[in-house]
Amino acid sequence: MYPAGMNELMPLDAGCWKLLLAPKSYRSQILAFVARLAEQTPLLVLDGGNQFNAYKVARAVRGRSEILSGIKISRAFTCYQMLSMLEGLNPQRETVLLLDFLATFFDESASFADRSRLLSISLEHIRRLSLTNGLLVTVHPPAIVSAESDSLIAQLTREADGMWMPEPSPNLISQPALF
Amino acid sequence: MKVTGWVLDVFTLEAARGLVLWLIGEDGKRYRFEHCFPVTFYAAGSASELRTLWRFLQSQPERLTLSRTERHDLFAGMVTVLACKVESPLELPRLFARVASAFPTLTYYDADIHIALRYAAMFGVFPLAYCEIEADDKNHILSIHPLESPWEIDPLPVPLRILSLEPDADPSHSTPSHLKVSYDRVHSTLPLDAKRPLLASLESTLKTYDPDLILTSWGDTWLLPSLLTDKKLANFPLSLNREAGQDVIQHKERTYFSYGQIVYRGQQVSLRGRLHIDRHNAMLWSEYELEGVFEMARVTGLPLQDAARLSPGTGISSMQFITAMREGILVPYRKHQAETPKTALELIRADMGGMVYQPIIGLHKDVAGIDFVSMYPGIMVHFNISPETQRAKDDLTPAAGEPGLIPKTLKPLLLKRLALKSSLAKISKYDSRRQSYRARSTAEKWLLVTCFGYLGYKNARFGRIESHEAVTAYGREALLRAKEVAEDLGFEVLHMYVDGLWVQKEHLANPSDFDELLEVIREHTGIPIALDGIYKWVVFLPSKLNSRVPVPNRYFGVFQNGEIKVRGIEARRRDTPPFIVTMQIDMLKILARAPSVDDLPEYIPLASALVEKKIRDLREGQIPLEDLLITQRLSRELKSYRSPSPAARAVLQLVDAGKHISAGQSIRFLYTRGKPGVYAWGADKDFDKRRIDISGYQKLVKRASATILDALISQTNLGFFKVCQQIKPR
Amino acid sequence: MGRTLQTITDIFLQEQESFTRFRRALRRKDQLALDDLFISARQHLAAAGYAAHALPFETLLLCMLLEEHKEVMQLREQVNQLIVSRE
Repeated sequence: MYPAGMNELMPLDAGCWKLLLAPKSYRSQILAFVARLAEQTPLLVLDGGNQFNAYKVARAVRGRSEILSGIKISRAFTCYQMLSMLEGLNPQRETVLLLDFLATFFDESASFADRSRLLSISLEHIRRLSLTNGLLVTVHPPAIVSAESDSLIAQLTREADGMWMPEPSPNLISQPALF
Repeated sequence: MKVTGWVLDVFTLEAARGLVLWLIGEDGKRYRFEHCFPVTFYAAGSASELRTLWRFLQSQPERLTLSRTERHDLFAGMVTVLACKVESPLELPRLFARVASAFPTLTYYDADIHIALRYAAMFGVFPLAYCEIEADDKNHILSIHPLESPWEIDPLPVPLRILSLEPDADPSHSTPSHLKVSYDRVHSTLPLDAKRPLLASLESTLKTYDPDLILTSWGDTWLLPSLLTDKKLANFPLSLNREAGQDVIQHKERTYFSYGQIVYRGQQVSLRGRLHIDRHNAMLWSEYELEGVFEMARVTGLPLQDAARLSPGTGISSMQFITAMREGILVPYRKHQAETPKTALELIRADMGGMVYQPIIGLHKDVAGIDFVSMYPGIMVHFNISPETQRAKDDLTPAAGEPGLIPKTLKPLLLKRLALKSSLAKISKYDSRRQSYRARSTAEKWLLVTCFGYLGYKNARFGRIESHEAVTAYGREALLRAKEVAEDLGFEVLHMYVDGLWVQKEHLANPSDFDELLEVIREHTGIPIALDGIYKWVVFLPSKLNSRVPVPNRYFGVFQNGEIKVRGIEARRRDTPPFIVTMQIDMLKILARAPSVDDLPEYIPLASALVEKKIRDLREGQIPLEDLLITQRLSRELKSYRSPSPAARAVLQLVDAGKHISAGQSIRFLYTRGKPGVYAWGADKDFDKRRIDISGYQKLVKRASATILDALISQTNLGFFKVCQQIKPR
Repeated sequence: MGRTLQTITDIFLQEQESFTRFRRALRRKDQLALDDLFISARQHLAAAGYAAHALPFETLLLCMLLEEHKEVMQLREQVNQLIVSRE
């Protein structure tokens, strides 16, 4: 039902929040997962890294407008915007999805101290929201990994109630090609 | 005393209590004034947080006045704020840094605004403004009044004294040996290796001619830093600044990421009391040169040295700040305004750009090009699109209420540009004002063009993505309505591109034939639209990969007045070698001589002959090496290339020769035979012409000539006039 | 930071690419006809983009059909003229 073993993330119920940590190459599977979710429950999506491809999701739900109208999206391009969006979030029955949540926090135009502080405040909001609504956060590692980016990811993984990562692919013995 | 004159520069200084203002007096003298100018920043937060901040500020060493007041935040409405007035404007940045660090959670306003913008907002005095100053005998300003606005079409010319310094070679490619010095009617050349005579001569010029502006080539990146080093080593005076006892300000070079591209800003050298502009480090210099820089400074309020180097985005932002301050609107320190949630369906519908149509491929005659005048800014002003105004529906009705911040900011700029364009159309070809009008109109065009993108920019203080989307939505609606009007009036629409249409109707070829069309479009859209011109003929080009796939905005054509218009082909690309650009334009000039479309077949062989000659010249080494140069930008840091592009390989050669090139800088090179396939211009004093990759350049020539000739030849075989019922070619 | 979604041209190219396997298994003659069909859809990308349907491929199919139908109408006209001129 859910792609790539992501059914382990389900159910996304109120009371706890889950973290999905995967490379950007998992984008399609994540969007497929979002589409499956959308078929069950209204969604509120905060997109921090331009990950929400509306067309792909529309394809996955066969263009059904009742489902597409049940997905609300806001896009953030700076960490200040992301925090501001979290502060203003007031979900009713929706499950909350924070896509590529740390992307704006990896942007070095703000100081690390600022970003770390904003992330702590954001985590408080995430906790607050998860008490009343199901909540999932997805995170993709940055293009250039650093001690700072690792530290921000760690800030997040420490607080998450549950985490999902893709299985590392085992080394297969390569079959000689037939053509 | 009372003095009238033109403001040269405004800045803060350690030694001065307030602001320093340099004036070019109408009497020919240069004046230095000081002006007491306290500046204020604001903080918002909970009552207890603000009380704690209050106590903190009281304990600070700076002279401050604190108060509690209500101010207007564009997005949040009226907010209660703590106002902190700092007596000395120089002290604000350091004080604010301490405050922001101690109280990171508060919301701040008016915290990091350039002093010149604050001054402009307060007194209406902008760079190069003609004004009247009343001062005491210590040159402290008692009052200052502008005697003109930035929107004057024909301001009094400013009697600037300009000294030009130009090395005889590009230092990033080879070492210059001489310096060309000019001012007034004096032109001289000084050798660069004789340091003391050079410094002595320059110092003498600085003291006697006392220039207001030093215009250099590579002054930021090489000449001035080099002269400053020389003067230090020789322990010789060089009074680049007029401000006595002040060091010249040097900013380091930087590379930053903007809109997905790497942008390179060379190091900068700024003067005090005088101005320094480096032609090669000035934004858009080739577009509008010095007159345009003056205009940028006048309308944005940014001091000339900044206006020359900063992007039009900063210019627009400065204009918005001035308008905000004048209107009592707080300028947020950080943008945090976020997008209101949209459904997935709404996102698909809203997230679009301008309408870009596929043209009808081929040769067409008697085609009118009509364009909405400054469409996006016009839409913002006319339909009152601003972050704080509410947009009613998708139809073309203005947002209700008072004009918003953005339209208020843009309107005078838009009107001035329209007035300049209209004057340009009316005055004679030989009028001496043409150059100035054109340069200024171009500078304004760049500001206007930027303001739309800026509206959607993530860091724009007053940006808002919904407003940005509203503008494109109105733009699409306007273009579609124009198409409908044209079709209702019996025109065929050959192509459409964001703000322009190409239309055709049998038997219509005079400008007045299209007046009715323009009038009806204006009525139906509310936005001004004008005739760009009537093409005697125009060719819309297909994709190079497949001649049946149409490509938007790629065409060449000749207007009735003989002017050629070209988009999207090699002649318009920055990396095309100059000799190919010239060849394509010359080919078009030949074809433009055809009295009518029917005569084109006679001119095609002439254009072909030109290409043959170019190839012969190439083979015989007759083309100067400079004309073979490819100019490209280094798009990434060298180390991030897995297989280096030609530009990267050229940079490696310069690096080996001891030069330093950063990502974002442009590099010039030639194609050579064998490895590494390129020769970086200036890497080596002796370059053997025989290394030139003749067959490579020949391919480029053939490709460029095919762009023009293939389309015409195939069209002349099938017949010129596109018949609606034509069978699709197989 | 204005737009974030793909352009209609990108979507078109992706849709075309998603039929690569199908195309491969066709005879050469049929491959060329399929390519031609996609090219004809390209004449109307602007309208397809503006339509902003949740499922763009449906709009692209309509574009292809539109071009086919234009040709049918044209051929019909030509055949009629031929018939008339014969009489």
